[in-house]
Amino acid sequence: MSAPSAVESAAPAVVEIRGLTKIFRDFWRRPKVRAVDGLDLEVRPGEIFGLLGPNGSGKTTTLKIMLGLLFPSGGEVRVFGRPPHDIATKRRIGYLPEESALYGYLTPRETLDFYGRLFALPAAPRRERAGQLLRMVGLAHAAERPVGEFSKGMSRRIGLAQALINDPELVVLDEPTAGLDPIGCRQIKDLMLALARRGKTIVLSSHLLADVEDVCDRIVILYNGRIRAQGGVTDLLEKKDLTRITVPAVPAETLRAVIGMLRESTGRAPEVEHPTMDLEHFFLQVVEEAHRSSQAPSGVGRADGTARYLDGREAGRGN
Amino acid sequence: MQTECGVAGPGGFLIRVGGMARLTFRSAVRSRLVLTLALVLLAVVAGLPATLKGDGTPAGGARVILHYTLGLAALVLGVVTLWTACGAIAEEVERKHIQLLVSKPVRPAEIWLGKWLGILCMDALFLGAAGLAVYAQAARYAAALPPAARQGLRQEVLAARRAWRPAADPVEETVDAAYRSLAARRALPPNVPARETRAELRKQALARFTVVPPGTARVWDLPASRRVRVPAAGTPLTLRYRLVSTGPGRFAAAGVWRIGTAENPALAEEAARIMRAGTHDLTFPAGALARAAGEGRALRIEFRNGDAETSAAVVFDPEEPVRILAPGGSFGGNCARTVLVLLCVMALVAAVGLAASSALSFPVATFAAAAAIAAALMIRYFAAAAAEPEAGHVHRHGHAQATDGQSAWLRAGERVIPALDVLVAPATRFAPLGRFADGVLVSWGFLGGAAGVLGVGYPALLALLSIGVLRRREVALPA
Amino acid sequence: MNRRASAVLLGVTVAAFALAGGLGARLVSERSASAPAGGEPLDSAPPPVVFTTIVLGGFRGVLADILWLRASRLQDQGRYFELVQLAEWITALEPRHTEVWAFHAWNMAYNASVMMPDPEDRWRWVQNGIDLLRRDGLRYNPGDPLLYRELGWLFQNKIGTVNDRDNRFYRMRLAREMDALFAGARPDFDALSSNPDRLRAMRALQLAPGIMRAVDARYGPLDWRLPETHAVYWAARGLRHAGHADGLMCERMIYQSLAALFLQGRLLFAPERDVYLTGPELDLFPRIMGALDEARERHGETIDAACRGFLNEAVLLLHLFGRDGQARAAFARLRELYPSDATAGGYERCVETLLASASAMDGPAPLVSAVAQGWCYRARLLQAGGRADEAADELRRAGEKWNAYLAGMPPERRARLRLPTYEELQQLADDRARRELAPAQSPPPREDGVPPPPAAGNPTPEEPAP
Repeated sequence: MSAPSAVESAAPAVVEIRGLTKIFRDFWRRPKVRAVDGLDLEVRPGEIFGLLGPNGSGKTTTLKIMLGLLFPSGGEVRVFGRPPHDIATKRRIGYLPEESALYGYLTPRETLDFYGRLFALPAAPRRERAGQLLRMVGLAHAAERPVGEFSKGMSRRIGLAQALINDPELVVLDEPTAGLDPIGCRQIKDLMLALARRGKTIVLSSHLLADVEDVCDRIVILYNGRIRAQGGVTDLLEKKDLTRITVPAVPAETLRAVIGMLRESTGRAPEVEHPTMDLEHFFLQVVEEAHRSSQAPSGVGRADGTARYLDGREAGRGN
Repeated sequence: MQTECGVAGPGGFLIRVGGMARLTFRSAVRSRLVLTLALVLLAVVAGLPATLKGDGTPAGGARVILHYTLGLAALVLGVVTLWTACGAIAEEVERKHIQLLVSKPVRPAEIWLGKWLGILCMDALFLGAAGLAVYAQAARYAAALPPAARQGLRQEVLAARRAWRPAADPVEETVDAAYRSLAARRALPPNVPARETRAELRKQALARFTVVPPGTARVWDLPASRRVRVPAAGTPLTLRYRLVSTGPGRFAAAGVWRIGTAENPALAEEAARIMRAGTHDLTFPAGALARAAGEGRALRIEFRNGDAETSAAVVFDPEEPVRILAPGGSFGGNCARTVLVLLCVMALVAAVGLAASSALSFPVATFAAAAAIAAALMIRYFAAAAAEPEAGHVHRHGHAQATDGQSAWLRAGERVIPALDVLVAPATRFAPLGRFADGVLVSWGFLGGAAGVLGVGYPALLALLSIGVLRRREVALPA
Repeated sequence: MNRRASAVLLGVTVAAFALAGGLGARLVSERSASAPAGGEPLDSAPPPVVFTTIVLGGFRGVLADILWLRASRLQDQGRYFELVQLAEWITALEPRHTEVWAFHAWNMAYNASVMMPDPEDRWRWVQNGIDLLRRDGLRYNPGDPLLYRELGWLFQNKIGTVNDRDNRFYRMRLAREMDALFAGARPDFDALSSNPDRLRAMRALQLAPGIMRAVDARYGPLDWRLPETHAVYWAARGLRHAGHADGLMCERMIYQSLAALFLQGRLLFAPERDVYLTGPELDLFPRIMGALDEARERHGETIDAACRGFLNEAVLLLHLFGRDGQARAAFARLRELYPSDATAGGYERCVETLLASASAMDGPAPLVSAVAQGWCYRARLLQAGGRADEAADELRRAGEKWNAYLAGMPPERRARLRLPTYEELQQLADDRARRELAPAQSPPPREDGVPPPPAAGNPTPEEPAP
C-alpha cells in the first residue's frame, strides 16, 4: 500500500461540504438555533484536518452531518463522493464520538467484537483485531471487565479502538483528547500521525489548540457556524515578520557580536532567551523515567505501539 | 484505496443482525430489572400452583394450574418483553449509543431485526423454562392423584385431543336463496332496506339450524378425517356440545345423543339431561365408534330431543354446536406447541414495543405500546356491541334524539371501530391457553397460523413502519 | 422550556396538590361516615392482600373488573372450573365490599351448582360458596353483619329449602359432616376443651364453641346437624355486630329458621340406611316466642305476620301432639296480640278451625307433614290411654289422607320433597312416643336433644362414645 501524498490535490476530496446549513427546531418546528451557517469545506485524502472553535460553534454538528447522524437543512455533503447515509461509505469510516457512548454491560473485548460484527468482519480477523487494538490502547489487561466500571480516559480509549476496528480510510474524531491525560493525548496524536503516514484521512474537532497545532495539516476555525479562518497550520501560524535562530549556548562575546550585527541589519535589538521545554514534553519525560523505575500506573496499561494491521505490518494485508 | 474486508452479501447481513441480536439479548439478560422480572416469572411458575384453587375436581384443579401458571408466566413475560422492546431503541437514543450505531454500515432494518430477534431469544429462554416447569407441575399434580383419577386426567386434561367438527351450517347460502326466492316472487317487503331484510332472513335461517324443539332431531355429519387417531382401547371419545339456551323457563331438556356412521347411525347412544345452556361433555366408550373413526369413516351425530312432556327446546351455539374430541397427540407435544404459540405472541408484543420505541422516548413508548395492546384487546367488545343488530337498532333510534355533535362522533366511531377490529381481529385469534388447559390439541396448523400471523405478518408490518421512522429520524438531535 | 412556563407549571402543580390535599381529607371523612366498614384499616388481611392492595392502588378495581368479566364470560360458556379461584382473587382485590363477597358466594352456591348434573358436584359448589364467605370473607370483614346473614342464607335457603332439586342430598351431607364432627346432634360443650382435634375442626368451620353454646342455650335445644340451626347460629353472630336495619334481617333469619325448626327440628338420622327424617321440635315453642317477642319489641309490626303465622301453627301442632297446656298458652298469646273472629270463639273453636283447615292438606309441605305426624302421634297417645279402637281409626284416617296427599303430587315434586312415607311417619311417631311418654327413662331433651335408640324394628345409629 503506497500512501498518497498529503498534498495531492488532484485526487477527489474525501469530504466535500458545500453551503451546509443546519437549523435546529423546537417541538413546534420553529427554528431555534442556526448551528451551521453556509459552511464550505473540503478534506483531501491523507491529510489531518482540524475543526477548531469554541463550544457551540458547530464543529460537532458538522461532523454528525458528515456521518449521517443529522440531516442538513441546506447545502450538500458528500463523503467519498456519496451522501453520508450511504452504507458503502460508512464501511470506510471510523468514528469516535465526543462522549464515548459505550454499552456499560459489555467488556472491551465484547464491545470491539460487537462493532466488528457490524462491519461484518468474519470471526477470526475480528478476534485478531480486537486483541491488537486492546494492546494498542493499553487495555489488554482490562479486556474482561465491564466498560461501565471504566474511568473516562479508559472509555475514551475503547472508543478510539472501536473507531479503528474496520481499518477505516476516514477517521472522524470528535474532541479526541477530551478526558485523556497527557500520555493518552500524546499517544493519540502519535497514532493520528501514524495513521496519516499510512494514507488515512483524519478529521478531528477540538477546542484545545495544542492538539491541533501538533498534528493537523490544515484547520478551519468556526465561530457561530461560520468559517472565520482556514488554511495550513504552518501558513496560519507562521509569523512572517519574525525569524527565530536557535543555536547551542554561545559565549557572551559571540552573542554580543551577533546582536550587534542584527541590530545593524534590522535597526532593532533582538530578544534573547534560553528556550524552555514545553510542559507536555517535560511531563512525558518525567513519566517515562518513573515508568522505567517502577510499574505502570493503574487503569491504563502501557500502550504497545500501533496495532499491526493499522501499520500495514501484518502479513498478507493491504492491496 | 479500498480496505474493505467485511463479509459481503447475505453472510454479512447475518453477521450484523446476529451482532445486534446478541447485544440485545445480553443487554436484556444483564439488566437488573429484567432479571428481577425473570425471577418473578420463575416464582410464579414454581409457587403459583400451590396457591391455586380449582373447583374441587382433579380435572378442574389441573386446568386451573395449567391455565394460570402458564398464563401468568406469559403475562409477566409479556410485560418484560414490552418493557425490553420499548427500551431497545429508545434507550439507545437516550444514551446516545445509537449515534455510534448509525455511523456503522448497518441498516435500520438490520438494527430492528437484530433487536427483535434478541428479545425473542430471551423470550424463548424464559418460555422454555416456564413450559418445562408447567409440564413438571402437571406431572407432579397427576402423580399425587389416585390411579383412577389420574387415568381420567390423562384422558381429559393432560391430553391433546383433536376436535372433529361438522361442516359449518350453510347459513349465508340459505339467506341468499331465501332472498332470491322472495325477490323472484316480488314478495320483498316494501320500504325495508335489503340489509334489514337479510338480517331477518339470517335470523330465521339461524333458528332453523340451531333450534331443536321437543320431539325433533338434528343431525350433523362429520367429514371423514384421516387425522383422527384410532383411540387406544378404553380411551373414550368425548362429545362436546354447546347450547346458548334451553327452552323457555327453567325446565331442563332431556334427549338422546347418538353417534355412528351413515350406515349405522347408533354405534353409541347416550341419554342426556341438560340443565342449562353452556358447554357440556358427554363421554362415549370407544369400541366400534373409535374403530370407525380410526378407519377414517365419516361420523354422524344426532341429537333427538325428548317429547314436549319431558323436555324443552334447546338452542345450539351457531358457531360451534358439536364436536368430537378424539386423541390427537401427546400432552408434552401440546405443551411445547402451546409455548411456541406464546412465543409468537411475544414476537408480536416485541414488534409493537419496537415500533413504539423507534418513534418515541422510553416512558412514552411504554405507555403508548401498552395502551395500543389494551385497546387492541378490547376493540373486539366494542365491535361486537356495534355489530349486534338489536344494539344497532337501539343505536339508531338513539341517534334521532342525540344532538348532531354526538351523532357525528358516534357515526365516526361506528366506522372506525369495525375497521380497527378487522385490522386487529386476526391477531386475537390465536389464544392457545384455553385449548391447552382443556386438553384440546394445539395443532401444528394452529401453530403455523400463529407463526404466520403473529410471528411474521404483523411484525413485518410493524417493522416496515419502524424502519420508515428510523430512516427519517435524526438520531443525534440535541436534547 | 423557559423560566416563565416552568413557574406557571410549578404554580399549577402546587395548587393541584393543595386542592387534592383539601379534598382528600373531606373524602376520607365522608368515606368513613358513609361506609363504616370501609373506613377502618384492614388489620386482619394476610400479607399478599395487603401487598396487592398497596401495590395496585386504584388499579385493583380495574383488575377486579377484568377478572369479573372473565368469570362471567367463562360462566356463560359453561366453564366453571376457574370460578373458585377467580372469586377468591376478585374478593381479595375488593375485600371490604360485602356485596362482592355475597355475589360470588351466591353465584357459586346457586348458579354454578345447578349446572351440575351430579349431586356430588352440586354439593361441592354449594360448599365452595359457603367456604368463600366462611373462610375468607369473615377473616377480612369480621364485623360485617351482612356477611353473616349471607352465610346464614346459604344454609337457610340453599340447603334448607326445596328450591334446589338436590336439597335432600345437601341436608344429608351437612348432617353427616356435623354428625361426624360432634359425634351426635351437638358437641358436648363441657368436654370440648379436652378434644383439641374436634376444636380444630370446628375452628376451621368457624364454629366457635362459646357462641354455639350461647346460641343453643338461648334458642335451643337445637340439632346442629340441621341447616336451619346453622342459619340461626350465623344470624346470631351477625346480630352481635348489627345496627338496627341489619339487625332486623338477622333477627328475621333467626325466627324464620326457628319456626322452620319448630316444624322439622327433630331429626332421625341413619346415614348408612339413608334415613333422614324430620319431625316437629315442639320444645322450641317458648324460645321462638321469646325471639319473636324481642324482635317485635324492637321492630314493631314488621314482625306481626310472622308472629301470627307461627302462633297459629303452634296452637295446631301443640294441640295435635297432646301438649294442651302449651297450646292454650299459645292461643292466649294469639288472642292477646291478634284478636280476630278466629280467636273470639275461644280455644276449642280455634283448634277446631285450625284442624279443619289442616285436613285440607294444602299448606306448605313441612307443615302438612308435621300435621300428619301429629295424627299418627295422637293415635299413639290414644293407644297409651287404652283407646285402641279409636287409635286404629285415627291411624287409618291419617294413612289414607297421607297416601292420597303423596299420590296427588306431581312425581317430580314428590321426588324433590322426599316426604316420609306412611311407614316412616309411623317410625317417627314411635320414636317420639318412646321419648316423650316415658320421660323418666330418657334424659331431658334440653340437655341432650338426641333421640334415644328406638325399638329393634327401626334402630337409629349407635351413639359413638364421646
